[in-house]
Amino acid sequence: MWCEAVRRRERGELGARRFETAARARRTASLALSNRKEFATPHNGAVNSLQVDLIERRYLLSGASDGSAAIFDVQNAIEYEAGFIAKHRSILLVDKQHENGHKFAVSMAVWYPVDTGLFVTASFDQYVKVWDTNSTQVVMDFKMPGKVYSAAMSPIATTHMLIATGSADVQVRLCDIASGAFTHTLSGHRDGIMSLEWSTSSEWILMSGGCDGAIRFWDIRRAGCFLVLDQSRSQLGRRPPFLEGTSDKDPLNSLQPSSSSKIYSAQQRTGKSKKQSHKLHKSQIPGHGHIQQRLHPGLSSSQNRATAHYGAVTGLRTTTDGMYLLSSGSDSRLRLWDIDSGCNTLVNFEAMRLQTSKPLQLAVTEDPSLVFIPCMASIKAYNLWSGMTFQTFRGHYEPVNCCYYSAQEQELYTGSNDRQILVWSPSTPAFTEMEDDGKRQMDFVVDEDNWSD
Amino acid sequence: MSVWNYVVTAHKPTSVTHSCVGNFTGPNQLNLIVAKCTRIEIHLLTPQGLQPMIDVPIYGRIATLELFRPHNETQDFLFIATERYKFCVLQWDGEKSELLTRAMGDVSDRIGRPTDNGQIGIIDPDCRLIGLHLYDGLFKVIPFDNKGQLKEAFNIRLEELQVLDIKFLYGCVKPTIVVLYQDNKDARHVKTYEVALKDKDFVEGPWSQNNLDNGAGLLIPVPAPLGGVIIIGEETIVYCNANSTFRAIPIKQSIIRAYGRVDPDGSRYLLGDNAGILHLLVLTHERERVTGLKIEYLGETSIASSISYLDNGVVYLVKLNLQADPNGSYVEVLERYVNLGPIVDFCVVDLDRQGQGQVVTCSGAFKDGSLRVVRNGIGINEQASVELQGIKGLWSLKSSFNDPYDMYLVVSFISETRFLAMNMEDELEETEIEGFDAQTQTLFCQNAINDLLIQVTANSVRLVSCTSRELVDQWNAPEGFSVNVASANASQVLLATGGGHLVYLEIKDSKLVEVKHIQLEHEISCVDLNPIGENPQYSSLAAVGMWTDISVRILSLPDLELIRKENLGGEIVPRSVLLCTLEGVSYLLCALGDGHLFSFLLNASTGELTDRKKVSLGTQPISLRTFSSKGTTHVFASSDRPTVIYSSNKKLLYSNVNLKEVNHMCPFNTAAIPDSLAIAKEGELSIGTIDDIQKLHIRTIPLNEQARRICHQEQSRTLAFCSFKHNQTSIEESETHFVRLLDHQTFEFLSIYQLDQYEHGCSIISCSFSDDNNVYYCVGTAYVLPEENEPSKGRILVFAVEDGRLQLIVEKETKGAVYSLNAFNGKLLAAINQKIQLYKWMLREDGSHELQSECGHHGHILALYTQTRGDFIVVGDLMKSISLLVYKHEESAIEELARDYNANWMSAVEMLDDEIYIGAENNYNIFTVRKNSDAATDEERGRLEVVGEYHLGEFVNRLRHGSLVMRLPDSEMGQIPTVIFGTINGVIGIIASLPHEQYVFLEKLQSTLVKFIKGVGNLSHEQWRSFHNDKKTSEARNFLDGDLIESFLDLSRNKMEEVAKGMGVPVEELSKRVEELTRLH
Repeated sequence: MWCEAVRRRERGELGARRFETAARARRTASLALSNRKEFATPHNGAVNSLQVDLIERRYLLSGASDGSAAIFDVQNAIEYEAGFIAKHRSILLVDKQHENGHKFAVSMAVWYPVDTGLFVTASFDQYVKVWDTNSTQVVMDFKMPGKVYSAAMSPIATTHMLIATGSADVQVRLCDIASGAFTHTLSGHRDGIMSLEWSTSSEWILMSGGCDGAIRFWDIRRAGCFLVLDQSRSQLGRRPPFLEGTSDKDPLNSLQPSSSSKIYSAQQRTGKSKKQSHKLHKSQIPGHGHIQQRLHPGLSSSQNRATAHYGAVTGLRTTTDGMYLLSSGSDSRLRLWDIDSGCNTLVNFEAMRLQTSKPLQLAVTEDPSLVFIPCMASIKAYNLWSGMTFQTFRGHYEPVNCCYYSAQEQELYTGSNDRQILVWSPSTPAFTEMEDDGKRQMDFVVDEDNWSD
Repeated sequence: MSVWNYVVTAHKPTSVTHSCVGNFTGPNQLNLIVAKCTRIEIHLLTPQGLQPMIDVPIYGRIATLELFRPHNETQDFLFIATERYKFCVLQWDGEKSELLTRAMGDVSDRIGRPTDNGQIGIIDPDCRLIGLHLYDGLFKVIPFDNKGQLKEAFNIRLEELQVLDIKFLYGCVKPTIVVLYQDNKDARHVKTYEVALKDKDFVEGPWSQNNLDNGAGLLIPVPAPLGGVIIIGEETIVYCNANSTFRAIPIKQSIIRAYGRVDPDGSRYLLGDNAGILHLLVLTHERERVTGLKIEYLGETSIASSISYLDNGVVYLVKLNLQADPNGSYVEVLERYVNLGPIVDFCVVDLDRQGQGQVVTCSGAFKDGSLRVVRNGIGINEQASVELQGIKGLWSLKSSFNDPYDMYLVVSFISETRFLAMNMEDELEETEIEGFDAQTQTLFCQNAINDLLIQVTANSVRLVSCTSRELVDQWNAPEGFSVNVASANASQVLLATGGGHLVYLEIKDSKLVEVKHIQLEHEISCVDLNPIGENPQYSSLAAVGMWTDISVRILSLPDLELIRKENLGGEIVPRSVLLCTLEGVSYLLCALGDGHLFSFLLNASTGELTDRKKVSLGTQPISLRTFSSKGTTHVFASSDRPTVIYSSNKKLLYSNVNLKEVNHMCPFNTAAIPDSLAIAKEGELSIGTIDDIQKLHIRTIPLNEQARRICHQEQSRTLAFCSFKHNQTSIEESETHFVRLLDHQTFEFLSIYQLDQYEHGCSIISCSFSDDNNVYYCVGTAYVLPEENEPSKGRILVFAVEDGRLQLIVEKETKGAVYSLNAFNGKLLAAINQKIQLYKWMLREDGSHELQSECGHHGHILALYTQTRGDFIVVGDLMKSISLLVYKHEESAIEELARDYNANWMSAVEMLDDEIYIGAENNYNIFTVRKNSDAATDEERGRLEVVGEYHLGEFVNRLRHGSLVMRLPDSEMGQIPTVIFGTINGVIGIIASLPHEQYVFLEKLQSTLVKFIKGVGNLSHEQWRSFHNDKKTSEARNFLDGDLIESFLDLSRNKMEEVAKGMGVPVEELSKRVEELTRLH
């Protein structure tokens, strides 16, 4: 494929963009436990959080239950084992021994999005700390009213430096690095907040998932939340139907009665609701509804009580194009939401079993075509649009807490309670070893056997 | 080379990406508008054919080109959208003959992912809105108001994920789009939506059609009253409309890429497929009801990327590749435009070893594949030649004054003069002209009025009748003086004898009359009185070059008064002066004995000299002569590096001629070979025709198969290339790959080696190994098996050229595709899949050789491109930018030294020098990186620092050192190293590394010019040239846009002066510096 794709690209038959997309997709589809790269974790507890910096996409930040946070260079290995298995050791570690280290588990560690000079850790010891990477000193800390589950910074913010934090308390707090103070407290959730995600299209929009099962959208320039996702509200019938003579159209569709495409059946199903809502459809178009809702911060109580999941929302992830939101819940469901309309897309992700009491970190490929979700001791990759299981990654011995997909390297990093960070990289089936490397290859095969079962 | 680079296009893009037809320049003028990636050309359709009107660059890669006509307008407007989300609406300003920007804007969004299938831009046929599909899941609407002005744009969510095509339907009350899309089960459907402008949303449309042909990829909306849409698939063509009409016909499997509507009512369409077949699709209809579809074969042409139907059966077929000969019954090629793209690979061949390369490209795809020889300078194609030693002068004469053709050729030797004439069989034959003195050297010959011939020799001037060939009159040089130099025109003779005497004669009533005689203070080295005024037979000015004070003087005729004296400076005597008029501008050219040439603008009435310029053409004395080609006058400068001086856009341009050394030249325009030249070389006289006078010359060597990699071997005087042929039988498609050998001069096919089944040629080099004097061709291959994701097997083949045959010497199996090969320290370096591998050339006991692997380096995703220099290796990775490796001799190991950590998807790399490397990447950018060997920390040393970034807007397939122009050792530009690049769209460009001082100067000039030269559609130059990919956009740095800088020379004089004022530099100096730059390509 590579040979052919490169050839088609050089004569302009395969557009440069499509070449890139196809190459990425091809590599992502072949992810397997890496036989080239390993992380030697210094953590003595479950790995709770993983993130690669957004600038160079080179430094992996991990946070673990022993109160430590570590940084790895994902591109340059410190040493090589057997010649070519790259061993990546941490290049920076802050743990309990550190004078300002966290006392309890680090639940989340995130990079400052603008450069790698700062990172933020959130911990069960009720503190959020901002670290200077070069001096490994705490430059700022924020005391929270409860265990901190989640912290997030907007990847696109240019006018603010806010850390959104979610804790066992019902309020989302925004900590400002510029002033060292809380600037906002966002009230609405009825229980602790497990997960937070900034919008990738607007630096003012924050999404929060609570233990009360609600996902709330906040515009931090305005008071109150402007949208609560409702799992029962779907996109079907969102578009007003073609008004004149819809009945005429049925014979056309029946031209090919054997067709059973999804769109087709979807139209059939909406048939009933259309009739009821014919006159009223204008005010019921949710897509336009939220514009009005924004003007009225006090949402009507029915909307305010809407839930996205039965049980806690444990993880949130937006797609890189900023159009969809994925959420995982303690009801062992994964849902895909259309952000613009706030509708549940009703993609039925195949059965899974999720951890219920911990925040989960999901990952999405850049396309976006796959979502990676920790399912107990394995990680599952689902097709984002069909909900079908694409692949199951087995390698960890204990439940997995977090995964991070690096779009640049097309690698998946996963952290688990077994204290390991595993690398899943595109497999390279044919080893281009030469005869003189033959012996090393043998050693390597033996080595691999230790890992893969 | 340096980090300060200057990028300039030597050959503009030739691949046509879009075309459309409409009344753009006037209500009654039919225009063809063609987009060539980053340029648009507007042509006018005239009874004589297409007439080019304007060719302008666009600051962006054109994604959409559409003509539309708002209500109440009499002519069309042009809508252009670029791939970087800028758009503009252009209107033709008939008075100034230029493009006027009506609107422009930015349609980029924060949200959404750019579409992989290409941007779609469409305009509602009733001109209510412009629709754009730029990001997956979004449809952008730019509405028009009642006056045809654009209103604020908004987005509508489009739930269909993989949109293949969108078109507006005709004849709908509300604007309605039809969307062709693929669902997540890979089935394809169409769906319609009405655009509700008030609600800024879609309304479900009147109809939809599910489960179409799996290859459906193109929608053709049918105009009212028929309405509806034609869906083109790979196996079927379907028509459907809102009245649930559904018609389908099967077609032979083909991929149709381009269509053009023939009738305004939409009942006939031209379709072009990927094999170059042109079809006609007919919608049969009864009144407004479509009853069926018919398809007819029209003929075979080139593979079309866009088709526009002009008028009266004339089709503009925009070729993706060069147009091949049509053999169909209905198709006739009316006009053909050469396309150089896609340039997949090229090599620079310096045949004459003069430092001037000619580029041999692998161009075209599939059956249109060919090799192109691109050469700067003008070619002379020798028609006849004869050995003649010691030619001292050469003139042509006509048999009568009004005869359009030349008849005699006068060849002068040191002690005799010989006459050649064309006989009835169009052969040159020695003859006699009785009245001429054949026993001495001739100094000048000329046809004169009254059917006379003039001959000037050392002692006399003779006037001979054309008809009788007898002497009519004679003027003898004074006793003790002999004529040294002379010049004449139809009625005047000027000659100089020793002692500085200048004698002026006129022909009056077939008599030579001495009109004036003066003595100048120094000896005279050259004279000229070529008429430049209104009278072509009489000149009122004469030019004289002087010894001793090294000056050139303009004298008035007939009184030989000094009008102007120009000191040339230096110590080299002027050897040839010429008064000439090119494109209506008069010049005085003065050539020195050391190959330098002065040019002056000459005021023909006052004799004033301005705009003095000096260029270096060669190293030997130059003699100047005018000649005409295709009715235009040019100047030929004979010397060791013969040059044609011509004028384009009222600028003097210099172009090399493909001859080694020319002593004398004269035009010899005969009936048999019109516009030919007689050329005297060392020991040879030849007659040749001259190419069109233009900068680049392209010669095509058709292959009928596609060449992929090419290299040159000087020792064996051959070129070798890898190519493949597409075989299509009724059942299956297959490819056969070859290695072919060509003569590098004649381009004759010498030898062929067929590769195994499934084996692809991926790389080829010419190299030699240590301890072996032979030179070999090394070919890297890959076995591309359909079921394999990545090739797991390949070969390195080593060939020797023996008697013009490729002889396989050694083959070595590899465990992957050999993407790149390099000669490296007498060894062979191969890039094989993820690995770099070094092979030694080992002598076996039996005397044969083998390749033995020595060491390797892992850690690449795919090592696609490698370059080496000394012990250093630069690797361009599929997606991980550039890395620098070093070979350690003692340890016999390859190690990584440094790497660029950016995620650039590479398409070509080259080492500019030991420290600086250049790369081209997938998003049409180029960048330079520098080795940080002096850095303080390991971390910094391990990082290649990005020092230059630039958006080229072209996909570069190959970067190679070399130059398209002659390198003159003594000119300033001769010291500037250059790299040539070739792109998919057929662009050949030059990257030149400038000295810092010059870079700073030109950077200032560029920023000044940006203020004076506005981009078409007011698009921003700064934004266009900024480095741009998915992750970041950053301003261009350490690269200059040569195309912009050189457009300074096209400005009007007033503008030039304004720019010069802004720069604080005199106009003359500024244009001199820019002109020097143009000589880089």
